[in-house]
Amino acid sequence: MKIKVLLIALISVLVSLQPLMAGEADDFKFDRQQVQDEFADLSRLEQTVEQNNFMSLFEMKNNNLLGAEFASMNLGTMMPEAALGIPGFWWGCVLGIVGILVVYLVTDNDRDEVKSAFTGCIVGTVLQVGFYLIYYLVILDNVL
Amino acid sequence: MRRILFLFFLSCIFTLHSVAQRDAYYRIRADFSVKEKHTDGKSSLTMGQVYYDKARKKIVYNVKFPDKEIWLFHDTVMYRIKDNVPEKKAVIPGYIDFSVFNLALNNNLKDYGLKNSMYELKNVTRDEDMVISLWSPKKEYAKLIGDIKISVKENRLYGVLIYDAAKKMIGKQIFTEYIKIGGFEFPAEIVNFSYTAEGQEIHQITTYKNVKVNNWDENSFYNYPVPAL
Repeated sequence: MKIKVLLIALISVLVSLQPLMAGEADDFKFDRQQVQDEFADLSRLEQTVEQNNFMSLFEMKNNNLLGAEFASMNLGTMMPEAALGIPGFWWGCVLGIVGILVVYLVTDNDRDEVKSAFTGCIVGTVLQVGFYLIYYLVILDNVL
Repeated sequence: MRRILFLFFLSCIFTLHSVAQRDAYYRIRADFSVKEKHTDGKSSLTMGQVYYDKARKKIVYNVKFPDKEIWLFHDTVMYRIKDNVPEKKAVIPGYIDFSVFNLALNNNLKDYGLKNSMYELKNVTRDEDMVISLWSPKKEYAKLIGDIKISVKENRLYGVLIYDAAKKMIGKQIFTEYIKIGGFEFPAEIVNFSYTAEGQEIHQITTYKNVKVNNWDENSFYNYPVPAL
């Protein structure tokens, strides 16, 4: 009897938890075909660069190896910080220097802006240290 | 007593095995390409080779396209060397430790290195074919940064969702393909979606090919000299 009740309780808990857990996987899904279509032109350019033994853009243009399709592309320089395929924002999140990473993303790594973000970071750290100092002083005060 | 000795012996073997596994792979090189598209129409393609030796702690990009240049990441500095002229830039501390190269070589990719970070594991659920873990920032950081969700599929890191403190998703990273070299696995393709505060989206595909581990052929790149500036 006890086992039966326990079993029913367990099942009902599992059933009630189901809606909470459902859909979690959906957040990780994306339309791969759509992404591949979006990057089709860059993928073709990537193949062309590989076929030409990693020639630079300048060399390819000089040797007329760049088709008209690519010549008209609005090709910018990638932010080196994103080279790992991991956004700067993530690093900032993990390391807590939010101001710096926002600047990296928003200003395209503008030197002056980054400098001021570092200054902001230092100020933030000082404030945080101050907060903990006060926090521990209050605790110590209460203990003593 | 015998049983205790046996268990001790067994745990020693497991520990030694995991240490050996972790130290078996110490350097990696790959052909890389990063394709990036912004919603404002800007796009970029960057290609070349990348080198990393975990003992040297230097990430060296031998960029070939669009321009020939070297990007050297060392400590908290990035050196961009073009036509033998170095340029110095500051990078976020921890950039190397949390890089995909360092995490993979140290066998920490599965939890994205969060185990030893300012995040703590809050919840683990299973949905469809994924094991999803929720990581929340430690109390003192909760006002600044948001949660991170990690999904593991077929015992490999599959996806990372990054939220801001207001629980808005700001980044999504999907590890779509892996390359297996012996017992070592490395992402072959990473699809990344970043959502900026201005509502702009940046889509990025990073591809790694011709991955070699413990390779000595291009030794000079792994310990690329730091320019004196």
